Amino acid sequence: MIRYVVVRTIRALATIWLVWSLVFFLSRLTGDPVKWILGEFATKESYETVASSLHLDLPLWEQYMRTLSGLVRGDMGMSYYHRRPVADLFLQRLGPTMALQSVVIVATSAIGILFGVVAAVKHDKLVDKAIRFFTIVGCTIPNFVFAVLLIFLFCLKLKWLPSGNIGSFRHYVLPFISLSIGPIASISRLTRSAMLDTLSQEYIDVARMKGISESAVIIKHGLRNALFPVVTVLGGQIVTLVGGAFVVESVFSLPGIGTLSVTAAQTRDFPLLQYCVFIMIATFTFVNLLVDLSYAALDPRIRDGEWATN
Amino acid sequence: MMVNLLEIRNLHTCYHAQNQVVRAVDGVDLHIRQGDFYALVGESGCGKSTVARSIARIIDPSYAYIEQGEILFEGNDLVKLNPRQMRAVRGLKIGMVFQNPMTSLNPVVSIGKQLLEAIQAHTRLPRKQAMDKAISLLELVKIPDPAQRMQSYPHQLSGGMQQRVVIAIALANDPKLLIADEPTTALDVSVQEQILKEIDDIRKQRDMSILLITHNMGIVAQMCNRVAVMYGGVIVEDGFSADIFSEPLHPYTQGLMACMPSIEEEKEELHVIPGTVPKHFEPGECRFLHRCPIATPDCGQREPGLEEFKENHFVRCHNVNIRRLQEEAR
Amino acid sequence: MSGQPLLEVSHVKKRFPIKRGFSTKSRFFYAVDDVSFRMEEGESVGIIGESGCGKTTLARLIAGLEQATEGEILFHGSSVHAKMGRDMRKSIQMIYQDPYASVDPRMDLWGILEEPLRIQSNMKRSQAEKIIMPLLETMGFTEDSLSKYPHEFSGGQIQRICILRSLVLSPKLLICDEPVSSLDVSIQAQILNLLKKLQSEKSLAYLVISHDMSVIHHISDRIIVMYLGQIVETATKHDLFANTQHPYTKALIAAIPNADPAKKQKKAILSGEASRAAQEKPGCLFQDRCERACALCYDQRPDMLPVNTGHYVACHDVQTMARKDS
Repeated sequence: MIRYVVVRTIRALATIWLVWSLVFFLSRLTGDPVKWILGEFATKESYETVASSLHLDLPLWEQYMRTLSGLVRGDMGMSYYHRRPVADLFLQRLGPTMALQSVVIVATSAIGILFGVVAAVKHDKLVDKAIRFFTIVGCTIPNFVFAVLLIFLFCLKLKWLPSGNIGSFRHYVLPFISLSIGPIASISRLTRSAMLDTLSQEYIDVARMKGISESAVIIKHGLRNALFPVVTVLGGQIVTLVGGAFVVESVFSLPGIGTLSVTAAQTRDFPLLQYCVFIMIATFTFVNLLVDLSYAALDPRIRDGEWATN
Repeated sequence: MMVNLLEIRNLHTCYHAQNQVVRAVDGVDLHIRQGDFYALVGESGCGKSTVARSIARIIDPSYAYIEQGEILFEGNDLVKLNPRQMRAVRGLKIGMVFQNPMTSLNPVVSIGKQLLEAIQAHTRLPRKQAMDKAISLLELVKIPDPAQRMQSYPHQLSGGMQQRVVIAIALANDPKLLIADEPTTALDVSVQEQILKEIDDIRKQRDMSILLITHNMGIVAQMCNRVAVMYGGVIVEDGFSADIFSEPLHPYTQGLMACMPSIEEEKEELHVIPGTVPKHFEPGECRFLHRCPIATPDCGQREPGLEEFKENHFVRCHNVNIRRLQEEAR
Repeated sequence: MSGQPLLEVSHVKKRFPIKRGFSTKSRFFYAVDDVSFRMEEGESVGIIGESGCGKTTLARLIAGLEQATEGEILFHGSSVHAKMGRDMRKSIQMIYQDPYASVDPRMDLWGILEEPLRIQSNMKRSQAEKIIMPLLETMGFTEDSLSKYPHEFSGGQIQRICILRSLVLSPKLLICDEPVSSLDVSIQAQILNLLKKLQSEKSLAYLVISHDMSVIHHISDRIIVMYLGQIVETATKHDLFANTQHPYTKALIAAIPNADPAKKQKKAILSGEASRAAQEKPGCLFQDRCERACALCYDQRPDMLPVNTGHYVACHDVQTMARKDS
């Protein structure tokens, strides 16, 4: 067991380092940050001053080693553009994103699973058909299209809700809806098919024959086993949400880390960009690690590592 | 006269498949008394499993339904019970064992918990007593180290052991009727022998009735006192096992027995029932018409009813019954 | 015809790793543990055993679908292995337990039957027809069934199609792994009759694997009894039943429920279950379940020794008795 955890952790760290390095080199291909800061008509002297203050005059490998050693020491560097530690900038913008994301993740999981279970239990009935229609719509239409449509309907036409920025709970309603529809759709599809599969197993009938309530059969025996594939996908959903937030945040002008990352890329603010990516990869790997470990917690067959009987 | 424990009257169970209605059980009558070891025999598609599932009311309502008929258990019609009432029957009065032990237990819950669930479904025992009862159930089905096994998971047990656990679950609340749907088909012959004998011992101890669904005539001959043979959704022969084996009356029963290879005899060629089970049956003719060696024109004109040929020996065949009438006339 | 046997299996072993949790230590269990036997042309040999005895693995080794860890399999003197050539593949064919899983559901009957010919020798349609059509009739199919797909046939018909397919290449050995286990009793009879008929018509040799003693009794000339990877007894059908020697074989035969209610014999119930753990102890693999186990049984594995012509048993008890008699 220890070995399992250790191996996975090492792999996770290696992944983080690799992607981080990839971003390091790729971002430097996108253009010259000094030019961004100073503009097209900078003088040679001001160019050299700025470049050396940002250590951009050093050979590429030296830059890399400097940044890497900084990462290891915990010094994430200063934003080129804002002249402040990147960690501070990030933290400042974390609020809106976290507020939004955490609610989305919890709500979409709960609602998605609920829809999936209902659709499976009442399969081929009207409820199931309605849910399936919804999931097709939800899976195919991108979240920013929803965002724009929702703004059009609720902000322009009905004038019920604000269309941008933060300030109150009402500002989060439309972003929440735009971000949730997709994940609810895919989680409910998956839950539905996993449930249908599980409910056709013989142990479901054995459970019924005990005389326990139908809901106990469906939840304790059905859902309990159907959740495995769903847990995998939930992990992926969390990651997608963090990534997909970029566009929605932009559409709603939310000052979150989505917009921060996009701006950092646009302005060639390498340290800031590097930091945003780093946090995202770390979250991603951590979430995947949790998913892996949760399997072992939930399924005794995986704990034993051996699927064959005796 | 004893009241029958289970009395099935004119049961019709149908299901929808590809825009058609399949009449899986098309008019079945069956009487099981207390203590009977009753075999329901037939090949795939004859409806025997559907009969079992109809009794327990665990047919999938999204595509199957009991069209008509009564299933009287201790005098109460199970078909008319609402879900809550039916739950009071399942596990307490009727227990069921299924064919594949590897998929009959929830893979992520321990054996102990699954047993406790069965016990607590109908009793309100304090935990310690419930645990003790669970352990004694495992002892009853001859599982070694029962106290240890409570913490085991299904995948840690062999197929035979898993089936024993399923039997323990079915017997947890001392049901009057145990329905066993091909309980040993997926098991090795040596394990099969052990388990069947153990079920029979339990039956004798508790004066329990068993309805055994099977296609294995050997098991039927050795263990069961009564047999019903099904074909095409109806019962074609029904009687005491001794009678049916010594004098099988229906051509299908005869064919079935003759076509089985046996270690007792040296047969160059096995008897064959020609053709296969038709997908549809025309009303007004015998279901076995196209495969029957003794079919006469009358068999295509009207469907025979299940009639008592000898005492307690019923058969659904014009030509057998004609023989009886001829014999009576003498 | 050379004096060579059709098939010669010598001291074949096949092991698989057991993965225990997350340890790196590899432990193995032997699915096939030192098996040797021979088959002649046109002979029908049945292998009987319960789950875990290795009969399916042995069948797959002989068919060249797996590679033996140790030992040798010779077919007409040439070695059988997982990478053997097309010629050998033609001569050894196999049919399986689940007929529906053995055919591609997207190929019609003609496609299924013609595929082996096409792969082996890239035949033209007319040539293929010359081979396929007569066989088709023997099996009871008409020409218009050639365009049908598997789902339009019954289980028994598909199994006949699989047999047909295996005969298209005129093999010398047909391995049948549980050929009738998933079929109804009345269909089983049809298939068993068909197999017997074909054998005499085409002088095919059969290797039939089953857990059903009645099936093995019906179709075999000679029977091999396997337990946990080893052969415990082998004899002609007649001898095996008339003069059963090994305690396991006796128990297996006694466990078959007799379809005559008048004969309710008291059975020798075999206790316990076969477990791979037995391979890790010294001595006979059957020691824990054997009524007649003696001190030697816990210590040494018995060798296969003859008790009669063509009748071999691996059991210390039997061998001791035999020595006493002589």
